[in-house]
Amino acid sequence: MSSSGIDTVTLELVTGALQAARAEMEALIDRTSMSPFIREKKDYFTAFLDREGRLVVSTSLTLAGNLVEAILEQYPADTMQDGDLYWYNDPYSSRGGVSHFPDMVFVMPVFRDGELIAFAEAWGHLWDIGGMVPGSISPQATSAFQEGIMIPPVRVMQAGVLNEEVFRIFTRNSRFPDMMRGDLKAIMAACALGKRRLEEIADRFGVTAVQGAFDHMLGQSERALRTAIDTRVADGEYSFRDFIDCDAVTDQPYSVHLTLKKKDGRVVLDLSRSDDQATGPINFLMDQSVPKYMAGLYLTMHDPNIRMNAGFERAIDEVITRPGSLVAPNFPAALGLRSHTMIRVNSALFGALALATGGQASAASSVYVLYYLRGRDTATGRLDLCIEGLAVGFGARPFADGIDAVYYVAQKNYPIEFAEMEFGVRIEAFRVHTDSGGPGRYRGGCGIVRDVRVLADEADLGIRLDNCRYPAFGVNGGLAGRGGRVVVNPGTERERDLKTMSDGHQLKKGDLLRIITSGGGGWGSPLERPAEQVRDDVLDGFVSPESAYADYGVVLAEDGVTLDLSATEARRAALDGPRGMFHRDGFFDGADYQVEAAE
Amino acid sequence: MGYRVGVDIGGTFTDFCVFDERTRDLHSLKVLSTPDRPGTEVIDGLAEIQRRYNIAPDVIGYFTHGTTVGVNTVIQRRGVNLCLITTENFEDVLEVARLKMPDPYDLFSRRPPPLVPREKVFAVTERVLADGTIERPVDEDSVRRALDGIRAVGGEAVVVALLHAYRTPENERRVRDLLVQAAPDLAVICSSDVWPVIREYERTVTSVVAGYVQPRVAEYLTSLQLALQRAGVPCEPMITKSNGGVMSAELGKTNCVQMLLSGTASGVIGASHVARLTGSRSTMSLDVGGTSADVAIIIDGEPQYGIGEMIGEFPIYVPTVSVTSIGEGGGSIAWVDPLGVLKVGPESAGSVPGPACYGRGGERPTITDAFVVCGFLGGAELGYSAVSMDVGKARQAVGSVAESLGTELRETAEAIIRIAVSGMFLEVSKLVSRYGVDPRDFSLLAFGGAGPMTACFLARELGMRQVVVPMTPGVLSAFGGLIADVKNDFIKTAFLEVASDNVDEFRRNFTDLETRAVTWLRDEQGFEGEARILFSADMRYRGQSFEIETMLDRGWIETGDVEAIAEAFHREHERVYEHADRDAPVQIINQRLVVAGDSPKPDIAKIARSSTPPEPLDRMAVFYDGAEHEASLYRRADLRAGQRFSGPAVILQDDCTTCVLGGFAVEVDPYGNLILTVEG
Repeated sequence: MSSSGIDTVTLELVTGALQAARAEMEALIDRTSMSPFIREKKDYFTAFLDREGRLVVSTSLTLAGNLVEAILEQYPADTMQDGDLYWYNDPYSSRGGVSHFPDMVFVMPVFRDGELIAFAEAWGHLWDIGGMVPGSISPQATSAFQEGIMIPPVRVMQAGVLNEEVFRIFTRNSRFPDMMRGDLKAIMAACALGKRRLEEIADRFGVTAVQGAFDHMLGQSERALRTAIDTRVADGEYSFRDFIDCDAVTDQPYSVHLTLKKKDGRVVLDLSRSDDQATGPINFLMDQSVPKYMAGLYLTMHDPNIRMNAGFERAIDEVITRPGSLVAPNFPAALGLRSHTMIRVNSALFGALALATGGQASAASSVYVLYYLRGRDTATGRLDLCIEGLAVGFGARPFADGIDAVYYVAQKNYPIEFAEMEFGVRIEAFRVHTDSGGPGRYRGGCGIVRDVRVLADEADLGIRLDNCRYPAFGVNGGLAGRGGRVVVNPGTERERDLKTMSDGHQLKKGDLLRIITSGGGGWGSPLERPAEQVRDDVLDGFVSPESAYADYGVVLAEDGVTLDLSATEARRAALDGPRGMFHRDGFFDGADYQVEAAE
Repeated sequence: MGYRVGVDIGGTFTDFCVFDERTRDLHSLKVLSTPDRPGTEVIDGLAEIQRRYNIAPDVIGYFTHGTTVGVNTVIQRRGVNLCLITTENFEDVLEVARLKMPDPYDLFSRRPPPLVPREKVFAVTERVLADGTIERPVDEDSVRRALDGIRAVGGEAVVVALLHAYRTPENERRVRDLLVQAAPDLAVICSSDVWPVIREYERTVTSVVAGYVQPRVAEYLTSLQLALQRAGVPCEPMITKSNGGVMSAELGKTNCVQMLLSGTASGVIGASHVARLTGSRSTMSLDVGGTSADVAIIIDGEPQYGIGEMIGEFPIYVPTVSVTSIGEGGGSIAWVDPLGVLKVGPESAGSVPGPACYGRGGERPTITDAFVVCGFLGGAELGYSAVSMDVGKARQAVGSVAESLGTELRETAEAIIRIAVSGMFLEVSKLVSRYGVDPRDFSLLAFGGAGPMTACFLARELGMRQVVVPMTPGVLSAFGGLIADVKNDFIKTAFLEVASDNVDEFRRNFTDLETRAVTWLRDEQGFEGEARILFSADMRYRGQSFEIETMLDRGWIETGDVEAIAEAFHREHERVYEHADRDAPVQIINQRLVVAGDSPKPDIAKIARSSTPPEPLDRMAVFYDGAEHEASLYRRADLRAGQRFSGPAVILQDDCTTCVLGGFAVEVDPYGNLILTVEG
């Protein structure tokens, strides 16, 4: 018997059935959605929540928090009916239930014998919902009103009857209405499927068993995270500040400041010292659950049975934010590029954990890159929208190298042969950004280089490439990753560097755009990386012979293949080891770098 | 009149299926595989067939063969020293791998190291554009430099995979010619020959897998040909393909990428044949072996096809019978996690040491042991007397888990079965959602050593009302190879809007494909029988990033009926997505053609009929649903067509055991298949 009074076999069976149903919802979205964002980039989320609206089973994405609370405020549970479907995309009226406007959230209450027993939920990122630019997200936005249509929590279906008018209003606001209609249908169908499956599970195992399984799963995650914090973090305060290069509108850097406080069994994450909200769209309207999920996923990763759910929320007592700050912006601050701040919340948390655990936390990762090339044919006026996501390097882990060339949670990129067919561009190079991964016992992941030749008559360009001014930091002796660059017409007289977070650049036919993305931080001293691995990295193009020598102290013989072991030994003895817990423009120990950079 | 022999080599056993063209009898046989001496088991098996059934090698008129030698070469990384040539500035294609990770949500995830490390990738200067024009011809100096590099790393073979070669292969061919001229000993493979399809990573990785395994596969096939000749088998062996067809072994030496998943595919072909025999419109095949369980969807007797199947850690994008692994096999191990929750798999006892009940040193409880403890197994022999059941060892193994859970022995065993089945349920749910079908409309066709034992449990979980157990469930893959058609796929990436302006090009593409298909079948295969040609196109609405394969009528192509072609796509889109946009422009991305030369299907003899119910050999106690039940025990060979009986029952045969739960009625069909139907 488990703590919830249900036998463990039934628990395992209900848990399995819930996971199966959720995976089925994902498969349905994958199969029936139309836009490349959802299909190829897997930018969607599915979940089940209990009747209180607590997340129980979900996709392991930490982009948004409490999905149902805002709906329940507008439509109290006792007014909900079987067959209702609720919809919103507004981060402000959901207080971070979703974190930028293109993500469309759909929620369906699930009933059994007239009782509300749970919610089925799905969201997906839509390609275009109006706003100031095609694709809706612009690095130039300074107000939520420029970022597309806002939908507060509405009941789009009442007892099974769809409100078509609402859809007509919505699709009228998109530049690509057919595709939006297809994607919305896919997400709604996934919700309906989840609801149906939950009903079947309730019929098969009984409502009590389902509720028991929910409670059990929440309890399991809560206990696992509490145990992990108790055993790994000593009482004390651990602060770390990490930086976003700029907000894409002004040139000013922004920082997320996170303090992990643990005292007498009480755990608090205090982000109130983060900077004020930004003019540009990097504001992250963060639900309090988000940093808890981040901590939970990281600290329980050794146990495959632990799922991201509201149990994590109970294991951390409080998250403190300051209204008007970067992680709690006031309406109508622009939110389109909130991932830049979201990923810094994650790295600031890792920084604090590194301080709390003697360096046993991952180094920082770079934020995925997107560029928006809006081409025009001058004769016909035809618009050609190219939005490509580009990969970066992830931070090294205390047990493994960082992942090379990865986009957020490993969404697929566009094949070159497809991009050239579709987008009015020619891709002239796609390769690994050598040396961008921070050197370390475990190397940071490398970013990439993509050369894009503009074929449209004229085009304007928006770009979001972060971690150049403040590259991803290294941990425990590992060095920082190397930042990227955006260059137009490199190697010619017309060569010019573009600001890496900006919009509104005019390009014309024949221009070559080179985007070089940032790498992840390294972990542990590079002098301790086995020389053979350094050599393999040189042969594979991840590390240059120069960096092998300068950073790793590894010397290759003249053939460029064989290790010169004695020279390596001598070189390594001559190099200084690490002089601080963190590294970026030199080593620092938590507080040092923040002071310097804040000035 | 002679004999037709199908052979399928698996990890543990090599299966033989023999069809007697005169008596129309089917014989089956299993011998232990010899992974260290591939091919030996074939000869061993032929000797055993002669001994057992008095069938001499020289009367074997048709011989098909499925092998895992290619897959194993990749998994064990024992392939050739392979190099890769790409378009300049795209040498990292394998390392960036479209950014995908094996499990994106697993924080421990790592990308597998490519089969060709970066130091063995070389660039040539050349460029084909998206519209197929050659912007830059091949720079010969760059080829020479690449060849120097290949020499320096000791490359034995090289794959040439250049951008847009699916559309214009001239540059790839030019590189190949230059290489072959300068280095006649070097094996050169062009991506446009392996599978000329758009998407550079997918085409390259497929070609790399092909190049990597090719010499090993060719070597194996040559030694097989020799061994069969020496044994006196007069016919040229046929090799089963991932697409469910067969080709000559001689052709397999160059087209080896097409035979990598032949074993699982021919199992589904065998299952499809049984589905047609039983008249089942919607079938899910369930193949449970020692370490894994695979399912496939069969509609109207036809398997489904897909691309992107995994060979070890790498996907290949050639058309393949869609088979999905749903997890645990009979050897998967049950254990208790630190939180006190019972788990099954993914660790497996394999064939060595095997389940505890095999008495070969296994001590940890497996699914098979759970079936023993519940009383379903242990009353008879398994695997042609190769294995005897030790009930005591099974009870001891399951007992260890029961003790740490504090539960009763048989309840624990049943819990192991239910948890294993719930894991299968999870994966099957995903699969049916991917296909958009409802499992309750399907019948479950169970085969493999452990399939018929598990099927009733899974059927109940999925709400399926019918289970079918074929005559020779243990050797259905070998049987599938025996009846597979001589078959090949052809593709041309077209990128054409469906419009009357494009009809000529569209028609020309199909004419080219058909000419190549006929040449392949008649000249290269020397096939003389009846053949079918199927036309299809991968189509989409403009702007979509994916395609739906739509079957096309030859008449529409010949008359250039663009309305009919577009309408076929709209209907297919509607079927999959529940909506269609008849005003939106439709594009054809790929044109496809399948040629299939009918292989003579064994006209399997009906078995003797009987109108009296079968007499159970014995009655025995079995445990399920938390209680003991009395089950009747039958021997499969004693059953006659038309006989009916009800579960609970246990049916024994040479190579497997069928478990029938209460609530299922069994009927023996005219061909000896067991049809289990939910009563009431």
